Amino acid sequence: MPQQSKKLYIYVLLVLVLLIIFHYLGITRFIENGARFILIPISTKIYETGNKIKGNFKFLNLNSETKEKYENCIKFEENFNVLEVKTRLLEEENTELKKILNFKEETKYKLLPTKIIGKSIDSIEQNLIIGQGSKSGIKIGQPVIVGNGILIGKISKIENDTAQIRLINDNQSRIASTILNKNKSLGVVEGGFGISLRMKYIPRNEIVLIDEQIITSGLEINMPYGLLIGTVAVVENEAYKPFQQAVLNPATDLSHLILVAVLID
Amino acid sequence: MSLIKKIIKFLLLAFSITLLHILAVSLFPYPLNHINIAVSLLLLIFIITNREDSIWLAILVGIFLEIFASITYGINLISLVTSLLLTNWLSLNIFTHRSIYMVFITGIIGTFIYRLIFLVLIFFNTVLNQTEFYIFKGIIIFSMGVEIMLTGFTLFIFYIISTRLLSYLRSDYLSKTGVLKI
Repeated sequence: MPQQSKKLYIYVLLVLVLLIIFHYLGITRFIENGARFILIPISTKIYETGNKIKGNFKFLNLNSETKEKYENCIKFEENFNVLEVKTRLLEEENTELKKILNFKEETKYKLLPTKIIGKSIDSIEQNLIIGQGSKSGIKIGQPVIVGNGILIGKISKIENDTAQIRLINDNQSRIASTILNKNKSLGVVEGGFGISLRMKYIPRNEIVLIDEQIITSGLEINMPYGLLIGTVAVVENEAYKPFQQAVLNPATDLSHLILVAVLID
Repeated sequence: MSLIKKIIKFLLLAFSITLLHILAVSLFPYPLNHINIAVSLLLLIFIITNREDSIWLAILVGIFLEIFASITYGINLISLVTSLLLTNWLSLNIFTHRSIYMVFITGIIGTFIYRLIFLVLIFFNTVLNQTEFYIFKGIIIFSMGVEIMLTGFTLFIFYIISTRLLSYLRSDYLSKTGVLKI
């Protein structure tokens, strides 16, 4: 190796070590903030444009299944209307019962709405960046939801003004969950299987049916009970395995997220 | 003055490479979003300029990419810079045959080293920081394989385009009057 190259390699390694030390000491924060100030708005625009483009080309995915899905949708709507009436009646009944019992509604969690401003640079991960950070009270492990309580992921990294969400379909994601079946079967929902999810460690003697809903079990820190994760698409119960597992469809499209909410304490 | 010019040039290049990488990850459909644009462009600069001081550009790109990284600070930066240094050393001392196909091989080796160092550092980070254990699933290895192949191919395409473009822009083809010499 030429002498000059050797020197350069040593300098580079030294600079790397110093950069990492300076980062943890906060000395390079002004450089990082400057870069963030320029790059984040552009990244947000890129993410939004990507969402628009993907949305515009979605019709290309139409295939022969569309008709079947449409018919299912009509059936679902009919059932939904019946269920809606029943729910309304139950709601009224519930309100009356609460009045009788002098029930005090307690909620431990607060919703912090925020916008998705970008995606993680690593293509092997499914992480999104949001425009709120530790300054807003966000902590690692807090759940992130959309709509009325559909879980999309957990906070995995925080900065002052930004944070990263590890989506439920990321290969490192694990969520303690339960199936809304007769046994209230417990298990762990894992990502890393493309757009679908897998619920593992379901006891083999418990009956799991297709289309049953999966919710969070509340058995882990910061995660409340009852956030919707998805529905069962396939059940795999093999004789030589100690547990059965289920392939799930997520309750929402995880590739087109724009507004989300963090559940903070 | 030339140093300031060089710094500005490096900063602009680093910003452009970072943005192109973000663009590829956010906009391209699967499997094209697995192309590691940062690694392929930095390797291309190494190959075309043949100058080792391009490594400072890699450090700048690494710092910018850390803003969007979901893992512990430094893992991406170290993986990127070390893999480029190692690939450069390999192409100067081991893979000395200069054919167009070697560019493809260099891309594959560069991305492979990048991912290897990345995984080793993640493992040490898990052990030292006692963080949640990184699960090595088959899908991760498959994604990395796709990334390695596509990045090698992208570097190959970039190399062909840039060498053609550079040969078009060479001033040797112009006479003093500005008329093309054929």
